[in-house]
Amino acid sequence: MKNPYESYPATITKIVLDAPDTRGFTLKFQDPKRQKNFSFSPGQFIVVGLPGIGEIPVGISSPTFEKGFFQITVRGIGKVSRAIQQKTVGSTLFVRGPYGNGWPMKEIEKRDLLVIAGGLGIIPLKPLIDEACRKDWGHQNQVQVFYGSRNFKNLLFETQYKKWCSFHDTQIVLDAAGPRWHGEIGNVNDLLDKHTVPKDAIVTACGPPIMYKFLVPKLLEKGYKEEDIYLSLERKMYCAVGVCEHCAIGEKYVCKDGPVFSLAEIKDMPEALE
Amino acid sequence: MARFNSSKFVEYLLKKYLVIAPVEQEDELLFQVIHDTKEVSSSMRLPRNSFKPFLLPHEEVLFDFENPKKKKKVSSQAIFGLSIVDLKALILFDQMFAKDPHYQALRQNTLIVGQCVVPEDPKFLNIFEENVLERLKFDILIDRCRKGEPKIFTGSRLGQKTLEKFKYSNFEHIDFKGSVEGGKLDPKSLKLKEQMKKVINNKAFWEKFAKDCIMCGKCTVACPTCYCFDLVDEGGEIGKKQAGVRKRRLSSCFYDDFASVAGGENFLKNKAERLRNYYMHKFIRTPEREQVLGCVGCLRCFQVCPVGIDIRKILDAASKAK
Repeated sequence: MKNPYESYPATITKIVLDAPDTRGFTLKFQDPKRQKNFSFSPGQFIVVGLPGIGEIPVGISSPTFEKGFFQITVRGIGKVSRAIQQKTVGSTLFVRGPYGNGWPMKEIEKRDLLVIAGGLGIIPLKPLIDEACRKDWGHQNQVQVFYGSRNFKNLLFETQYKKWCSFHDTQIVLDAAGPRWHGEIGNVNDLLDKHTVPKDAIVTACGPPIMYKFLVPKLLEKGYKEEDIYLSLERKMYCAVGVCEHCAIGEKYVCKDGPVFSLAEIKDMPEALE
Repeated sequence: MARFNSSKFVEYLLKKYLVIAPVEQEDELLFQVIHDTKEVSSSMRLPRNSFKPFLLPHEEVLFDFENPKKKKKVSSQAIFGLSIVDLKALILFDQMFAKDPHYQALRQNTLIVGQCVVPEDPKFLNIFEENVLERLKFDILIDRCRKGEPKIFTGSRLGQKTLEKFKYSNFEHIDFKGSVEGGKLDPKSLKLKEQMKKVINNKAFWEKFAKDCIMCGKCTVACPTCYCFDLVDEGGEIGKKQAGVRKRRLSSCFYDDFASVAGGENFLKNKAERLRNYYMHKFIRTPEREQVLGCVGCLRCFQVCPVGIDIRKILDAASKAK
């Protein structure tokens, strides 16, 4: 029987300071066979940790087609994430996964797509946007990306925007104005009023609970169907295999049945979006 | 036919196993490791604890960073005198931890000797349906509830072999027919689940019943079906060498850090939300996912609760909801 709590050493091969306290780590499993066989779908997460300190669930941010490495972006907020921030190139992190369901790629490929990210919520959406930027993606479909961030400094994956914009309409909005910003000010929900958005599209959203509180009514008002709105939820997690109960909502486990749920699935669970 | 001698049987078990049995201690009945058959209580009460500490220890190493493939040594143990309600809880544990090698290692090295003990309020949840024994997993069961000689049942090949070696043959074998008939939740539990759904989103309902709760978590310790746990990494790097262990430590959904994440968000904010989650788990989540009720009707949660929160009153109020 496989030990579900075994994690595997991966070496940090590159670190970029992407935003204050927020670093992008490029990782490679030390066992070449494990690295070769590692595959995931957009929206899935891994559990990463350090011996003696603990583990955290983090979204994978690299494109699914990269086989030689995988990437995560970590902001130092808690004990584990701060300890990971201290690590340098060549250090070892312990990884298990991937876990969770990810975005409904089969549905998404057939339809127009509206991607909405708030803050760190861009991380698990990045592999999806990368996927939509592939040459063989259905170009008859419209893809719109809305990304809201607190300020200019906190924007993630800035080197990618040029690529995203060349394939899709990408809109970025900031909460606060700053000297280096000439774009829109407000919150990400305002973009839904200001821009023409694909109708009858799949919506994939990831952001803090407060974003969902305003976003969900707005999307319904705009006519998006409950079963077409997909949200990625954050919860406390330990086991990541649906046993320890920390991430439970209603009869679901966010780690195993999620983290992506359609609004139709969770609308009757007040604890899901509260 | 020779009569079954419980005390001799425990003596026999002590030669082969680490034996756990109900022991009377300071007016409390507790499952404990025993060394002498005289320690075993013949009380027909339900012990305050269950099999939990012996199959899902409070703390257990799950992974060793230095030696990932290290296998723990597990010695054979026998749990003597598990009641029907605890055998029901064992079914749920077997299902929840079916893919957990650590639980399975302990479980597969454990001889289960049940006995027919009636909980204090047998009417609560009415667990004594007919043919209950064929829905339970045990090796041997001693039925002392009827008048006269105890009746002995076996539920596994191991149970049969054990009794044969003990030179006792007057037993009846019962084949395990699955935890629920047809693999589906029984109608009574189904009804309870549906009633619970009617009140689960009623904030006032949970605020009322959680009013006196002090979030001590005693109910979750006492409950034979509570298994929530944290993972705790201990030790750490020594020089350039990776060392340390990952442990499972049982936790309680009533504690502040159960659903809180870095950054300040807590997804179970107050006692009403936590009590609701506890009932949601037992009466909605577990039946929906595992096709068995997450409550076995032992009433231990009520007995240990310092403020007297009574599960019977909560279920009664739920079953009256329209």
